[in-house]
Amino acid sequence: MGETIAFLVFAGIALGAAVAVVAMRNLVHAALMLVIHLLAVAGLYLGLESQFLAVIQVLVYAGAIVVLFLFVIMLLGVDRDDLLVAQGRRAVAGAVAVGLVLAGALTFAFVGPYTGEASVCGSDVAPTGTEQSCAGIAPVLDADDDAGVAFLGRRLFTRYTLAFELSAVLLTVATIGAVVLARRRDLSPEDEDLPTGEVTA
Amino acid sequence: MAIDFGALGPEIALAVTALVVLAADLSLRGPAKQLVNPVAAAGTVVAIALTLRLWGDERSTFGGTFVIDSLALTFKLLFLGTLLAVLGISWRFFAEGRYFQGEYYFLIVTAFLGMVLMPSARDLLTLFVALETVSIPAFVMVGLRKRDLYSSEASLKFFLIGVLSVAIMLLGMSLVYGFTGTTSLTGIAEAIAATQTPGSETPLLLAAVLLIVVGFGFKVSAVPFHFWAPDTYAGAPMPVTAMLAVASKAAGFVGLTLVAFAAFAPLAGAWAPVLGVVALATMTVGNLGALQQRDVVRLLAYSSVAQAGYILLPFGVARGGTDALSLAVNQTAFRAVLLYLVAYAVMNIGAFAVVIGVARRSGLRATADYAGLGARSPLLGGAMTVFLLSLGGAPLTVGLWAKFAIVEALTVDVTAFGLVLAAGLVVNSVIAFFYYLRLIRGIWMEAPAEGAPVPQPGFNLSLVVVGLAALTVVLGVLPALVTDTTSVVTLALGR
Repeated sequence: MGETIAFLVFAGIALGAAVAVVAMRNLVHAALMLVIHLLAVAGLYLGLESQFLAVIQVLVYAGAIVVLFLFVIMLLGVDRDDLLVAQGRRAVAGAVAVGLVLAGALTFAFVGPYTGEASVCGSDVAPTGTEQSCAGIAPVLDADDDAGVAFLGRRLFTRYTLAFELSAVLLTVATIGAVVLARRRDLSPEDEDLPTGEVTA
Repeated sequence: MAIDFGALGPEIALAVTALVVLAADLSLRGPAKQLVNPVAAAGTVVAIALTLRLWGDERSTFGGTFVIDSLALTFKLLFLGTLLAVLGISWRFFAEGRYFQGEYYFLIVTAFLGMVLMPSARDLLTLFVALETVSIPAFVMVGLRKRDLYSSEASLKFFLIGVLSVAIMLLGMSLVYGFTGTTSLTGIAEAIAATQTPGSETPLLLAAVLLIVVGFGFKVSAVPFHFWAPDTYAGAPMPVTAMLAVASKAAGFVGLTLVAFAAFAPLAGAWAPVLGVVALATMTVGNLGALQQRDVVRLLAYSSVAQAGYILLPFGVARGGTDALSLAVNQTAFRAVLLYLVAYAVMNIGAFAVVIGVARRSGLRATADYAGLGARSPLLGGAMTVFLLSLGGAPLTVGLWAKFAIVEALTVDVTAFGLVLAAGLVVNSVIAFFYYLRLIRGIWMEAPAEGAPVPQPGFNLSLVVVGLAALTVVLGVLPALVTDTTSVVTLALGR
């Protein structure tokens, strides 16, 4: 019962904040609404007993990523609302239509297969028809320990070591790329792009 | 768990090379900076040697997420050979343009590190990180010509579209993980075969598969996800364009092959027709677009969109069953893709090398500037003719065999859809020949413009051009040199 109340509260906050992100006229306010949304989603994770994911959600998304958003907004100085005016009625109608189609498709796909009694992990009810029983999380449930942290760590440093190490290379690339693209001074070319006449061969 | 470092040899060599190049750039000054190019080339040769040492081995490490087999090794050699050629055409371009040389060579070696990893990956997660290692350096490399607004535009378009496609692909991958509970490619195939009945699959799973396919569609610039390609190719530094058009696209195809044939083989009934239609649209739009281009780089960009369509064709006839005929169809389709990618790498890098040679010191890149190229520089003119004929699929070039392999793959088991695809290939080849031959006619039959400069390609570039042109013809006469290798490459991905 408490779980249901917690879910309803957090889901309500998450939905409301998500709408506010889109509706806010001031970009900084929108970014702050995003923080509320992400925190509410972290609350949802808590309700699902994945404490580790909830903490990561707060640290990475609500912390680092939104701070980056705010930095970009301030650096670019996009604080006026005139950039946020929808371009005409047709665009609005199109956006609403696409949103409705997407929502309908998701509802069609999720309600039924994933909302029945059988889709609950560990449930005794046998799945009927299109219903899906919980797939994939069985090994995690078996390894149930401190919210899957040990499981995650073991996987990260055995099976997925290569991908983990490779992401170090990716971070180096991102750093170098940022430096190259942000550097102000450029060497003058001896270049192939000059018109023919100006080149001394 | 012991890690098989021997199996990782080529990757380790490339990673070390990338870091050495970066450090060398810091310690070198002025014109000496261009020496990072031979350093990178030496590292590539070491990686090739380490790959050849593994030839014939069947190994796996990291719990089966990293596999060495004939498929992986063949693609690794293709990518490393491409890297050597790209380094050859980059030297003068970047040394004379005084771009960020050390950073460029670091980025390109890193991108190829991702590509070399790609065919070995047998896990969605490794595959995804490898694919990102290909893409993210490319975003930066496209924008290296910061003086040029077109380069910045190209970079921005490529970045936004690339990030969007990655987001779509990731959504698909996470849904697939939710369905199957595993990221291992063979594990996914087993889980799908165990839980889904052919003909009535869960719609959400099909949607997830299509999301992943769409993500790869962006990578290989298939219609309708191709619109970034011409602008990006035209704005990027030309060696980067060659890399994007060939290596990055090939990496996308490797990834698509792995997920399509290894993970989603049981669902082929759903994705194969989609990819077939996409292939038809891709080659038609690419060729019709190329017909109207006046800039050689844009022409080659549209032509490479069309070529992606040809390579997608064999996916259109893939089968989901496990009977002998279905397996034979898939096997032939896969070999056609492999052969076409090898041929495409040879001829398309060659064509871009000629374009770089012509543009050096003059910046000429309009189709009109190619008038009389044969008289001004018989080497470049002759080589361009060979490459264009091969791209069109003329006899005595490797392009013919590549197209032949695709037709063979489409007709292993004659179906109406296969015949439609084959007819599309033939019609499109005719359209493509029109613009390739128009360029060739300009090269040989038209008088050069008044005061048109004699191209000075430089030694490295000439070497690459001659080597690739010779390879195009030799493989055209003796295709067995490649097919003997490709025919032993099997799709035996189940391990």
